[in-house]
Amino acid sequence: MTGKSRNSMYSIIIRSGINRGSHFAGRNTSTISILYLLLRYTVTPILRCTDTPFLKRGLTSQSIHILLDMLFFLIALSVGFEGGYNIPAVGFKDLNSGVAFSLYINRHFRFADLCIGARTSYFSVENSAYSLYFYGLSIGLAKNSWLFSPVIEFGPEYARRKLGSSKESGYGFNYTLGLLINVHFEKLRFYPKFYYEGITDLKTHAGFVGAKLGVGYEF
Amino acid sequence: MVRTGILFILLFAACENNIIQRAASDYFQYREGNWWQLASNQDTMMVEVEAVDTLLQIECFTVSFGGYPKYLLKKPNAISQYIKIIHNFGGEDYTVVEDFIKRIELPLVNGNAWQDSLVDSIFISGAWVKAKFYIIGSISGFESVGGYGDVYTIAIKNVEIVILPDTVITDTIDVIEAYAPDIGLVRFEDNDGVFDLIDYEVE
Repeated sequence: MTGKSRNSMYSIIIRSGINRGSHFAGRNTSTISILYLLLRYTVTPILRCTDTPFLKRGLTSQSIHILLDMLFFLIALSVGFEGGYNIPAVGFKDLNSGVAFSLYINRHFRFADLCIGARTSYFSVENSAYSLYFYGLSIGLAKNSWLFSPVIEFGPEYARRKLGSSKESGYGFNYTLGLLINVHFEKLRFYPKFYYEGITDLKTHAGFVGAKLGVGYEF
Repeated sequence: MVRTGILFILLFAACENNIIQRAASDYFQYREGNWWQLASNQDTMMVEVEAVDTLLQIECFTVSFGGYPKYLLKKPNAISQYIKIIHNFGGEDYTVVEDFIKRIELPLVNGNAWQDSLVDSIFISGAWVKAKFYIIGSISGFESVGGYGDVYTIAIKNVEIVILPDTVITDTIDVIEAYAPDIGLVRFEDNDGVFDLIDYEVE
């Protein structure tokens, strides 16, 4: 990494830190602010000494910066849970409705909320021996401060089909377009979410319409 | 970052495991008017879906395989076939077995195997006549065929046994069928040879 790019990384961290401070101002998040300032003004300057033997042997300053940024992410976030129903809309003609769950962490950035999550959904058909599972990771954007917020998510998906003892599995790509209705109650956020969830293996596209009820908690 | 994304997409595209295609597609396009023309080295065979018929108070499709009709019922969990075994005695026909049997278990999943049977008997002129029809099926695999997508190969063994007081009549037919997503039958193999799809029309 060149000195220029390293400096730009610092500036990104500093800028995001300022933004983080402004976002949580007035939200009784003094603990987070103190933790952030401690990390920002103690650990980060130490990491600038990239010639330290310890750093050379083990983690580089760059990887520690990434870890530190992840830590910043973890101490300034909200977590949430969603659950709901999916109904086949494109393809999957023989599937019944399925259930879907997801867990996520959410972090506010300058103009939107970035959401990283893991999700699973399960579908069945009239043949009770058959089951179709999806497991996925997703990254998404929404605007939690708005009452009505569009939401977009995408990420890789692992699909598993099972009929009796026979199984098939494979990977796909998932994307979600939808609408959230945010209701805030102190640190809690409740929202119904209506969406179209598409899934593709780049050969075939299929999708579901769904509704979930979510709850998030801002630390 | 952009390079990583492109690499990820290329790797993903190269996987050739079209799980969504197999899970979401319809492999059995039984709609009136659909047809498939298959050809072997020596002969051609036309498979056509004819008008809906009602048998045992159940609506089913009449699918003509080279002029021989099969009455098929498509349900979410199986393709069932109408079976009727008749025994002629003294110039009169007696129905021994009449029912639908599971021909192919749905959804198609590689490695799945199934069997179903129909058994019944009838007392004719002082003697019992027993008949049994059973199907043993299995999905022997799928392969990605250019232009068709992931094609499943299904092996089906049909066995008909009629037990008379003095003899047992057994008739066995083995067929191998291959089905493509949103197309239907693309290959058919029996004692007469191997037939491959040369033309089709599905709605």
